[in-house]
Amino acid sequence: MDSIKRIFKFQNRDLKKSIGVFWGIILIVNLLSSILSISYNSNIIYGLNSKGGEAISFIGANMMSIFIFIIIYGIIMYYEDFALALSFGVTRKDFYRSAIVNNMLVAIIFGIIQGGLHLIEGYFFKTSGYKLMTEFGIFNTSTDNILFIILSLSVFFLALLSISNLLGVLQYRFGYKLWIGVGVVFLLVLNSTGVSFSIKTIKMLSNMYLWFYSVFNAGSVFILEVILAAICYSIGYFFIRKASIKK
Amino acid sequence: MIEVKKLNKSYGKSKVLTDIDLNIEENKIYGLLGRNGVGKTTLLNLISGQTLKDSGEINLDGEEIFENSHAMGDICLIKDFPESIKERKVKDVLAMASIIYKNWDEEYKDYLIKEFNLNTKKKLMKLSTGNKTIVGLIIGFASRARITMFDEPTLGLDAAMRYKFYQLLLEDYEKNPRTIIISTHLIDEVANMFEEVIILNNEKVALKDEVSKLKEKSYFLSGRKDVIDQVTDNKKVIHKEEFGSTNIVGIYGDFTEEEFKYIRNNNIEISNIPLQKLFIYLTENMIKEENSNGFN
Repeated sequence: MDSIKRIFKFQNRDLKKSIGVFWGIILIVNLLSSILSISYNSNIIYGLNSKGGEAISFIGANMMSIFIFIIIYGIIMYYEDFALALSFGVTRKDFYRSAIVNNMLVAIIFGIIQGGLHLIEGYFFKTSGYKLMTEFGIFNTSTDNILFIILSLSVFFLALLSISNLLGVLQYRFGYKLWIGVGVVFLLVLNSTGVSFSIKTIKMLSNMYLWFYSVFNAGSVFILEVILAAICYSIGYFFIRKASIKK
Repeated sequence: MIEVKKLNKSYGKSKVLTDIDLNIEENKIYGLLGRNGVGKTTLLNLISGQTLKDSGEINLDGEEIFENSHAMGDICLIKDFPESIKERKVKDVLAMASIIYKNWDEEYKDYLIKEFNLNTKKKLMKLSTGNKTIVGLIIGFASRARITMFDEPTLGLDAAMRYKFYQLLLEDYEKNPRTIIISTHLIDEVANMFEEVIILNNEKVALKDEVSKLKEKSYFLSGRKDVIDQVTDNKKVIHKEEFGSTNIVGIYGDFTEEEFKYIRNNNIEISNIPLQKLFIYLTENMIKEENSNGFN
């Protein structure tokens, strides 16, 4: 137990700083984009648009930045922290357990911050004259309570973190070969299905995502996200349990 | 304390260690010697659980060490830092080490930083090779790990710093006895610190013995070739120099009382081989002869 505590402390040493810097930048961007869009009644909207652009959400647009942060976070955790921890004699099992707890912590913190920002945005929009975008697939900011929104976001972020954790593990084990493999698979899929990579493809993927959420209810989505996280963490452990230190 | 049984390791098709059996005792300083690529670093990586073995056992106090948090808490291996962390500042790396090692001595770390005059605000990658080595040495000393292993601990250090390292190591070892394993190529400088040496050769432990015993059974004989040949015929000759009719021969093995008598009566000069020379001769001979009979 003592060793797990020490590894958790080791892993989370820079957490406050990295989360603080990330959200600091995001808040500044949110604030500036709101001011620019609303105060100057700009034709350019710096936020997430619903169909036709009649409803917007500045906070909803944070999802792409969060997605990028989470992907980098998972890769760095293994590229830097895992290599150092292993060289200090930490066991793979302890590191992995601690990484899952760390991911849960990050998911909850991000859920609380993003959920809280949605709440603040709701009050802010009342005086702005813009129509607020409220439907986000996994929650609706006008009908769902804040705890549900935070929970939805946290579970969603955990699922994303589990994917990023798996990517980090695979990147550590296979290095550049992973990305060559990803590229080859991507090209094979495109060639075999005859789908060209275009805006249409992205829209099709986006529509598939929306269909997914329209078919399943919130409870099913939670369960699916948790199952996805469990699968990703299990596969990740399979690959990391026999990883050797790299130069 | 550490017991290695039938340990095997290969990288792809290339075998590095084959059926290694080894016992490491508590509170001793070991020298791990051998030529380049003989598997010294691999052996240390395996003992510290950083590399996976193919087969065999490595136990600490009877418990398998691999993925054993309890056992790993007692082991510290100091070697070159992973490339991926070289962007980190020295003070961050030291702080992270202080979190992981359960017996970390913060005061001693501060003392060593002053002693080595290390700038901890710099990034690892901005340090010279010698200063990077010093960061590792500080971690090794301050970890106070029961088993501390140094892989090439003097890489890039100048003579003064190397001397400081040897001095600190002995001072600290006296105050805080522990098991220390040093893998190095600078045999001549560290030979006198070792209590026991392990020489790896041809994928195996070719020799493991106490330094005092090694000293006792290694001799230089100097005298006329024909006279010396009489007493060295059935001995392990590890070194030979010829100056006209005079030979200087290095012998590894025991002499009987009769043989000693013959040496004295025939004016053959006899002396012990200095340790550094002995290790060099032994490793050179192992390479030449592939030592299938072993030196043990």
